Amino acid sequence: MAMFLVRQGIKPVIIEQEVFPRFHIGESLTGETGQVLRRLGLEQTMLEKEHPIKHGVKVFGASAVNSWFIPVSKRDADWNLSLSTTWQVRRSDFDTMLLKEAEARGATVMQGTATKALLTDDGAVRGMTVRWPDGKSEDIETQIVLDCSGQATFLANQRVTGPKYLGSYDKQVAFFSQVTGAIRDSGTSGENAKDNTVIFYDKKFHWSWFIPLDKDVVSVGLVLPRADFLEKKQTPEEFFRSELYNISPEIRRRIPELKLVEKVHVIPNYSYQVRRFSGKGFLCIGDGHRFIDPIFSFGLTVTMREGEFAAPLVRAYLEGKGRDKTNPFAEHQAFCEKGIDNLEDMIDLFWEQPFAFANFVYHRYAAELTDAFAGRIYETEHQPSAAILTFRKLLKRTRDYDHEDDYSIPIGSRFHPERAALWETNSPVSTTETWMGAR
Amino acid sequence: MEIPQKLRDYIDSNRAPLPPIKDLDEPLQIDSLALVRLVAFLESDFEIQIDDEELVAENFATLRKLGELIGSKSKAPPRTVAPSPVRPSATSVREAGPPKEG
Repeated sequence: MAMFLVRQGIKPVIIEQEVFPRFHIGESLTGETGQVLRRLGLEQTMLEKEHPIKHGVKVFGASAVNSWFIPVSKRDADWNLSLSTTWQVRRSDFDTMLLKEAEARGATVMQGTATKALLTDDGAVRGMTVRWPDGKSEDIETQIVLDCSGQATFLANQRVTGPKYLGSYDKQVAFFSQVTGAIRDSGTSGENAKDNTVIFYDKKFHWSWFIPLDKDVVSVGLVLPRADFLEKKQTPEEFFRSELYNISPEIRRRIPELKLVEKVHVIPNYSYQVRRFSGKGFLCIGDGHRFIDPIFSFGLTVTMREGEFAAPLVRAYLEGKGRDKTNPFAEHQAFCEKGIDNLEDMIDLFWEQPFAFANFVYHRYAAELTDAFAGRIYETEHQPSAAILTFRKLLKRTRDYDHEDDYSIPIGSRFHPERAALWETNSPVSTTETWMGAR
Repeated sequence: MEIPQKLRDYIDSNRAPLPPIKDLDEPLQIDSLALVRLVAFLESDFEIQIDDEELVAENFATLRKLGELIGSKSKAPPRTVAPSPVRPSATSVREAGPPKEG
């Protein structure tokens, strides 16, 4: 975000709570995230730092006998599709690089914790209170606050935005760590490239990831319904060790011995959506307002792309444009929601109808879904595609964008408590849409 | 119900090492990615088109269900898929062999 602001001639101030480098999840970049980095002039830096090069995503089915592969792709200005590459990143290194680069390009980084949003009488954001490392607090006045706090959702917690709802996958829990000695594929490109992302699908809402982080270390994650974890009454590490191999025999083959070099981290309830995430003096970016499901690595994609989209709008706002509107960023907000809705429809169909989804990926909508997997999800990128429209039809879902509160209806269990049963162990509920009925 | 022999042969060969199916209502026991190939096989060898809405696992659960699906169809021209320089691919580990250590 900061580097895109600098490109617009803005010198941003970053209030950073964490001391870098620090651990973070979200290690696999999509094709479009790679393109964002290239547009920022960081390709050479990525290569010099020897981040593993990702050629695509391989997905193993339940029996691990079959797999399908989605190559990383790009589009040129004439919308011609071609193969591309992107990277896997150890976020502690990658994020530190980005922070230093932003600072080198003109951003000011200040160590501190935003504790309170400051509002004008009419509800616009005019700044924030920051607690510095010495314990003292200070009010900082600013024309606009960009909430890049990620899952901390600072402005939502401050009730500056609309309500924050649990999202579609709010009963899931993710366990993840890093291992050494894992067996990778042996190729240098394409489907069997050694540093590709590998996903192991077991059954509905049960899956695992395998993401190479460097020559020796691989990030390994396990995602399943929280009910499964609570039932076992184990520590996160005990559970991770005991359940990982149950996802797929292919995991045991690739990780013969579970040599952890990182503690087992846990993120429950990662799926959420913040309504009205922009307004006078504020705008939430990426998972500062919405996160669906980590399965196809869209978190960082959405965040970085929204940062790029938002930068010129922030400049216009600072120049005084749109200040008379109730929400100067209303169009951008709808634009972002539509993009993530496309992702949500794709992910929901993957979980609800994996058989149909595999057919669409492999055969019927190959190009459209290659786009979606690369993170080309916005209406300026020929979306919703025929594939997404078909998904909506199969999910019996419509998207209405005529009224602010009609679109992107959150379908999490807090918003719709009856949906919670979907995540119960051995749930009798067949599909989300069947369970919910017509909306 | 008459099940075409080439369909029986296809199913039996794709669920090996399981024994050939005797009962029309016996679950096929092939995973969703093998089912993808089955759809392509049905469309090409039986010259039918399976609609998006019909791509639900229940329609492919047993030989009887498959027979009903084929029986409900009339012959149709082959489905055309737009050519693309970038296409996802599917692999059978049985065909490709296990990945080598890297």
